[in-house]
Amino acid sequence: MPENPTTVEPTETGKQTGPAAHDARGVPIVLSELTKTYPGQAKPAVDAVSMEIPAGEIVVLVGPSGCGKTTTMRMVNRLIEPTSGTITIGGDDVTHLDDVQLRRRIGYVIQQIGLIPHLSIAQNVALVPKLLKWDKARIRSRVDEMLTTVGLDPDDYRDRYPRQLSGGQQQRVGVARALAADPPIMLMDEPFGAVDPITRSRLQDEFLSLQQQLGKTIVFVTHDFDEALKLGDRIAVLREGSKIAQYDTPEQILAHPADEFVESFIGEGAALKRLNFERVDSLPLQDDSVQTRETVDVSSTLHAALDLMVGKGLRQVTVARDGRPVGMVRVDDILDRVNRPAEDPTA
Amino acid sequence: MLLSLYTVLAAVAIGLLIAILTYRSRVRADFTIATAAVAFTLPSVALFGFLVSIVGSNLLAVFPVLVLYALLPIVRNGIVGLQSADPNVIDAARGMGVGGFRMLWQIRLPIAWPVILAGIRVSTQLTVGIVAIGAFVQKVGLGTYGYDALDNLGSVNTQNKAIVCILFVTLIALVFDAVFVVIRRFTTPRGARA
Ligand SMILES: Nc1ncnc2c1ncn2[C@@H]1O[C@H](COP(=O)(O)OP(=O)(O)OP(=O)(O)O)[C@@H](O)[C@H]1O
Ligand SMILES: [Mg+2]
Repeated sequence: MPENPTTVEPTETGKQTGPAAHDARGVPIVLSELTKTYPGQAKPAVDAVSMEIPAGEIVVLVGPSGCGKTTTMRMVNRLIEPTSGTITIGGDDVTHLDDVQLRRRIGYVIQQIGLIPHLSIAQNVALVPKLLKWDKARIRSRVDEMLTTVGLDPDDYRDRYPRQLSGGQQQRVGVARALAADPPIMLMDEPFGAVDPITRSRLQDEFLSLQQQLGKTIVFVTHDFDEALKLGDRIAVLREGSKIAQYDTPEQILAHPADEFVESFIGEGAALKRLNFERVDSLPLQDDSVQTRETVDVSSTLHAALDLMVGKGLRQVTVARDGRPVGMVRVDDILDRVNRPAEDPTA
Repeated sequence: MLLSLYTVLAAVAIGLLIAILTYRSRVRADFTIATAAVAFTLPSVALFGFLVSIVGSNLLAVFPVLVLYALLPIVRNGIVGLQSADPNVIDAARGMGVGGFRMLWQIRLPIAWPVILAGIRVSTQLTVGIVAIGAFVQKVGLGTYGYDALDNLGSVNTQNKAIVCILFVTLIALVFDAVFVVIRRFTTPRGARA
């Protein structure tokens, strides 16, 4: 069992190439002893939280309703002023920066989206570039680029108004707007919480592939643990007062939950969920001379492979690379992996 | 007609200023609306009379009263309109670095505009009507006809003069109204149209 650290030193950090003000790629955020007590309340909503968010990673804050996720996140761009403690972005203490200027360098996406109703989609996306006084031609091409990036055809959507878009489309615009000025940091508060599960899953997939190119430092708030598992490079499981119950990679949290609170948050099926984090080609493949009725790709997750076996009532399936069989996995191989993980030397 | 125009312009300037200064605090906003409503219930003839006793029978006695009446709909709709912006829109904009003045000018005011315009429209109609009453103090505008009619009650022209007064006041109110439809059409951003 790993201990339950309040500050976790990142093991692998993303590429860091410069100070916050000029760098589109992520920069680290460090919270130390961050506390917020709302006026007239006895208990702090955020209680002495310390945490390091590595550059270029998605850190998901997950926890029960009212535990202080939103409050924690909104202190980063100073929409809420901390009662005590500090936040540094790329080494700069945010309270020493002009708050309005600071926010122009931090993308911000909320569940309710908040597109400006009387401005066209293009004008909404152009909001921050305009504040930063980009020239017109640059703004125009950037708007089209961003709409394309989030999967909306600029010719079709540029001149529409927010209310002429579906919820999912509006949230794409929300993401495009937050990314428009290429901020090194993104704060996202349950951005996909208000759309149907299918759209949500698609938005999540697109968001992940976008992040692979962009490498922003992202603070992502959700109360959906499965979303946290899917999106997070790291997950901070928070309890009341934004206290960190565990801060680790999804695999580690699933394999070694710090305590009962974290376990209860993971919910049922932790073992099965772990299968999502390993690919078929991480297993020692069995000899492929045996004929099986079904085939999985080497890049499939163990979860997908097991699902196929359970669904078809099979004990083994063929593994293929580029459509050509390269071996076979058995149910037993998967069971062994779950109980003796790869990094475990006894495996 | 000119007097009505000046009255409305003055009321818009003062009313919006009051609205902008008070909309943020619920207490101040409610207090302002209540005060304006009380002022509104004072009988206009009494107010005219009061001011005449101070400044004499001239336009100075008429104009402030007219502006006072014209204020209520503008202040009220101004405050309601400025408060009507979706808090999430404001939060998202603030979170992306839209500052205080820009927020008011580029986001709150445009969102409030249809409501404010409706207030100005009501205010204009009121003003046209009350200007006619103001004629009792200072002979201006069409109210003069109404005044003459009452003054010479029973004479041959009473009815004619009263009818002229009513007809033209109505006509002017309608003209102003038509102007508003046009203004609204051209000043409401497409996205804000219902
Ligand atoms: N403006 C405020 N004034 C007073 N108390 C507040 C304010 N905003 C939040 N709180 C309180 O602070 C605590 C943390 O709220 P916060 O919004 O950060 O929770 P959250 O984790 O984001 O919850 P959810 O998942 O429901 O969004 C709650 O107990 C809430 O009631
Ligand atoms: Mg929240």
